[in-house]
Amino acid sequence: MPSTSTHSNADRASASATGRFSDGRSAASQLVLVDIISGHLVIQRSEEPGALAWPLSGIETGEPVTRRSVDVLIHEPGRAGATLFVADPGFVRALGVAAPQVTGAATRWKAAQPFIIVAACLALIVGALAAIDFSPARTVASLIPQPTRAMLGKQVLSTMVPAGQVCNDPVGVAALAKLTAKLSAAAGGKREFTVTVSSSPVVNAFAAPGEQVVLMNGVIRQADGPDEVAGILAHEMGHGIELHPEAGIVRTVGLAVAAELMLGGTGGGSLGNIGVMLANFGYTRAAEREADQHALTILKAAGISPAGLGKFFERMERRTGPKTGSDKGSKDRSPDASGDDIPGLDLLRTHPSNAERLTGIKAAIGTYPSTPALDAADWAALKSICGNDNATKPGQNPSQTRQPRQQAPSPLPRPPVDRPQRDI
Amino acid sequence: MLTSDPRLTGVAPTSPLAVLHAELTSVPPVRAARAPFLSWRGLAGLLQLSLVNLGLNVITLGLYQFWARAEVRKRIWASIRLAGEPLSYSGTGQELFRGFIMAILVIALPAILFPLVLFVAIGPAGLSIAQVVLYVVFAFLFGWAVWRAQRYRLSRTSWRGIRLSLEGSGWGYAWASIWTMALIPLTLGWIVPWRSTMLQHRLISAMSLGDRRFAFTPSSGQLYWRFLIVWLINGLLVTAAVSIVVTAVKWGDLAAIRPVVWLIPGILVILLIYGLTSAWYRAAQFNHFARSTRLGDVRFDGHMSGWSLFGLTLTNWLIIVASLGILLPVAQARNARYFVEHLDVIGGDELGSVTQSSIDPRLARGEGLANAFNFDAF
Repeated sequence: MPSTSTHSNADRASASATGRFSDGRSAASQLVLVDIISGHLVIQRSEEPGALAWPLSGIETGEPVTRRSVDVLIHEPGRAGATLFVADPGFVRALGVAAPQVTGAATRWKAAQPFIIVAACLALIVGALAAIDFSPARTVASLIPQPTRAMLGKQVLSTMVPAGQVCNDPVGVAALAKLTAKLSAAAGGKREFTVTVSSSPVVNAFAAPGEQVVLMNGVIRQADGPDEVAGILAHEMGHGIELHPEAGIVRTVGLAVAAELMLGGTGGGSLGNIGVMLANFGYTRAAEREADQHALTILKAAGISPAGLGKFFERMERRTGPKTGSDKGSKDRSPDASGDDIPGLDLLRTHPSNAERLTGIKAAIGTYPSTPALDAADWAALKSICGNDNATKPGQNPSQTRQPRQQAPSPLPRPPVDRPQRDI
Repeated sequence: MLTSDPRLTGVAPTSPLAVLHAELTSVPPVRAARAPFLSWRGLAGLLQLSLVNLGLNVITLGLYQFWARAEVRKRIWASIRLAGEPLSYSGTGQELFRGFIMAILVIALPAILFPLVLFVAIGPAGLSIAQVVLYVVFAFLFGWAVWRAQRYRLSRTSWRGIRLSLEGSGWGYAWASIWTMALIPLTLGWIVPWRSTMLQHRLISAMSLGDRRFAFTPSSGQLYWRFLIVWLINGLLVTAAVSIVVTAVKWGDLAAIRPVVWLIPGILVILLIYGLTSAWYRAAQFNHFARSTRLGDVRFDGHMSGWSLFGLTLTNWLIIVASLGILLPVAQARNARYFVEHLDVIGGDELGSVTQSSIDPRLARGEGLANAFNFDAF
């Protein structure tokens, strides 16, 4: 017999080889000759005269063909059951070229393609939305129905202001209600705000969902006049109008709980620490700017001078040092008479660019006629909403508490001479 | 080798040389003489495949994972060789995806809705009742799911075009699984060897390659002396673990240096010993089950050892944890390779006479609602 080494085809990408063929009806297998000829797999069996021709476009393989494949199991087109096994790397390479649909890359692409397309479209949409500065959290927040928002607000309130800390001196509450109504009307009247005063000495105020505002007693204590308080309330109302608290919650809890909220649900256990959540996230600069603008608009519509708000910012900046972070030193700090140092002023910690805000406020001073936010009696009542200790300003001699305070209509009111000078 | 090839020698098919050639085709020449009937062809490139799959998963937000799993299975199946020819896996990612959706609908939805409905109907007590009911139902469904998963995988496995199959709906297996499981605590675990043997018997006796049914000779007696040793050692380990924790707590605060110093190594040693004894038992069980199985006249034998099995389990665990699950296919391939290399098929040449089973797996879907649950949780 002539000895030829025609069966070691491994060294060239030959399109012909020997293989084992099973007809799919029994597990017997026979040796066959295989060829790739004009788009077909031609199989010559030794028992049968004719050759089988499988169209290459219809074959499938037992595993995807890669460059490392040294053998291949080919299934008859239409999964009719017959199989062909060829253990010839050269043939496998040729098959990969002639029938590209069996290669690993092709099968993977075919499977992944629809998802990749969908994911790419999603990415484009999200990118476009981000580009036009669209805020999905805000849109979602605006879809939350009012009763749910009110429920969220109540949750925040009960978390941040325990029942024992709510200040409810009736005269003070009435005075506050007057101020709130004035500001709400000036805000357009579409939303009815509710302000709650907490007896905490911290100088802070925040907006809660559902048109709620919480004002800490520390703000009232250190305020020079009602215009300051009005300005701070107007700022927080600005946050409420823009749904910043709701949007912040949506951003924090994520889409799943937000969807629940949109459908009027309770958000389940995820909203347990809602107050903590609200206290922990900071508003963006843009959000603060919006709130500032609303504050100025509301004050103007209510005929209240923005000077008070400006003074508040100036005072706070002096207290804590410039926003760059370097501490101006204790010489600018003045602990109040009760001895407790006012802790880091939360109101300002996340508020950037103080100078910018003051500029806007200062520019608006005097541009429209203004009256005090509250008359003297109401202001005195508001000052004692948490009990009489408010009548004493930090550093003031308690014996002088009964004298009504003079309210100067000028932009930057100086304190009456009979009071000890404070670091204004 | 076959230089009498008619095409090369130009000899006519009816010539003596061609007849010789035809005779020789009854001998499978693909494997060398005296090579094992069941063998493993090395599987390279799984590391790259794992990374490619990771990338595709990320781009498709995770939806590609089903197709990734199907491709990994195809590769592993194709590395298992009988007479040198590979097994073929014909399952698709689409089937896995559908199975996943079915599982969510059939399992997750009721698991959420049922307690809710009871709560609304009965009140808080309904939640506890629902929990108990769900626990029992899922324990039952687990046995059924094991059967269905096996059935799915077997029906998608073929060799030389001949399909494997598993006959039966799975309810009998599920019931057997759960009532024996309830007995485990009652018998302090002594029912475990008998239970494993009984369940294996049910499974294997329903399996077929084409028209030929597997057979299993159940006998759990040989397993019991090993089980006794394992049981005693595990008992000692549990006692040791409990006493470690008790003394640590008794010494007041866990922050004290002395208890903690030997708490962690102590736990590790316990886990190590448990792993070794467990592997020793599992290896022996596998070998015994292999010897109890037949396919017609074909016999099987296993030669797993406790040490090698333990080493495999430990290294696989390390691979999976260290790669955060990305290299799971590598671990799966190692498991399959170990299985194949420690299982012997004796007399496999005789399998050539097996014929195809008459049930087309695709037609099998028309059997009814039960087949809608032909999902796989692998």
